[in-house]
Amino acid sequence: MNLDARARASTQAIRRSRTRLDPVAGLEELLRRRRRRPIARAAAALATATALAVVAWVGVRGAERVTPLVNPPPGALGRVAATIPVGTSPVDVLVDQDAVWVANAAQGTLSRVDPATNTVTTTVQVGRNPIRLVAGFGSIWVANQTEQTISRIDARTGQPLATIPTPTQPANQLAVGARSVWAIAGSALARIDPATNKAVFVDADWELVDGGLTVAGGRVWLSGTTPSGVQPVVRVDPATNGKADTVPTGADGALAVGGGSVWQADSVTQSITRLDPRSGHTLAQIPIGVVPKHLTAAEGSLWVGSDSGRVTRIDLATNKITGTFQVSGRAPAVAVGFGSVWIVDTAHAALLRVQPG
Amino acid sequence: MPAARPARLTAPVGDGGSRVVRLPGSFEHFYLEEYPRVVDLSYALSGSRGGAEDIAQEAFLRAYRDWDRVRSYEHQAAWVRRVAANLATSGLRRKVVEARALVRLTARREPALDPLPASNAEFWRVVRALPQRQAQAVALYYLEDLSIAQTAVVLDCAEGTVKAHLAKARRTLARRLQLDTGEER
Repeated sequence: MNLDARARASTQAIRRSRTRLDPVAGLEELLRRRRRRPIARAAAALATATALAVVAWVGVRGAERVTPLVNPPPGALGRVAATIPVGTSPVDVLVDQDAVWVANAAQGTLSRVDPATNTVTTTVQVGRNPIRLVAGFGSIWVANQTEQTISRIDARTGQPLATIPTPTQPANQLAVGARSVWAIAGSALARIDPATNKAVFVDADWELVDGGLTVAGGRVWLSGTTPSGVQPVVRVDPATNGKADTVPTGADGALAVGGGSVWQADSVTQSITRLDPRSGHTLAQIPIGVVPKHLTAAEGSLWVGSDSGRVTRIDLATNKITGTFQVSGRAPAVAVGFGSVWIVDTAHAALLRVQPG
Repeated sequence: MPAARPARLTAPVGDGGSRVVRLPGSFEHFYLEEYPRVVDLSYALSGSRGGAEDIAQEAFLRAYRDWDRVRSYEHQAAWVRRVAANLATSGLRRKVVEARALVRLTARREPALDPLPASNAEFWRVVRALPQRQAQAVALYYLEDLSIAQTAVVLDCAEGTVKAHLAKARRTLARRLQLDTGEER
């Protein structure tokens, strides 16, 4: 019996143990405690204190401290040229030909920002909890996680064009390539034909969750973690919709393509792994000292948004960190275009326009 | 989550009788849906048959007292699990809750939970010996069958942190229980 089997058996034992559990009686007890009078409360407190002494005498188990992430001081990525209010919970940003787009998770909306005026010109209602954006085929594609749909929005007019269900699982990653839009929906891979807006679901013999998705070297790349904690990259052949191979990169997170390489975030080692797009071999590993979350490759750099709120710029030619920028929110999504870096500031519900220094 | 069972909710009054309780409908539904699972989580992380139900009730009591705010959260179930997990694992607070349970149990009834078979009890005992956050991550991952992302929401930390906790915890558990992790690289 391995660890997972032992854990499952022990989980079942816990479930089977509640033979006399009565939720309604529990609620009555809860209400009795809530309504207790002051004298009764004092008596209960005294009894509790006495019992506490008894329990404490038996022994108290100490808890180890969790070492916090080291958060180095902000560097010199650039200066904020504009702070643009968007929805109350911005989570992703995308630069398209004419505009900058921001997904607002709580409102279920998409904000279109005009880079000429730094203002929101259009707000489009999409689905519940839109968390990821990608551009392609003249459209903005939005993964609505809670609603389990993908919205297709006309990039020029902002008009909704289609809503594509992902009925089995919510989509949380999107990519464009091989004449298709791709989405990770749970452990499944959805392939959307932009001509018909129909999705086909690739039969998956992998169980990757919480990773990334990209298209590079004629393959669709999926990363993540299996239930047993392994972190492979699975590559799918678009010609067959079948798995081509598995690459043991050791990293677990988001994927991006740029500078002739595939880049992968590694949350465990707090680093970025540079991969050969054909072989999948690791070419370099770049420590960044924070947990990487979002990756964007553009204009000669890889831009990394981390859970600590730091944005790190890595030169695609030299693998060197060339600047950092700190926001107070967590996991800032980053996009690059119109001569600026666009950073989601989740703490202030704003889109920051940063001019690189 | 299991479906809520139909329930006629009553509460005791001063004369020993009972009366129908009017609760916010959403809280009642939330409670009945989540209570058994939160008891499971509390049992696994505290190891206390008597205290587990008390820990769960304490977590729901806090949700009830602040229901106007908690109901607006997107992750109400995660919130109450976080409270229960913290109560069950953080030294002094757990002892206070267990002490309350001890007081009540002396005058009330036997625990609603049965003792675990030795092998399963040993597993959870080794889990509880892990650092607090690792133990919480393991319980949520296995017992609640949560994904990494869902576990991160409950623990209010980054997904990467959860992965790191789980990876360390699994190595420790495998070593202490002399089991294979089943991982392949």
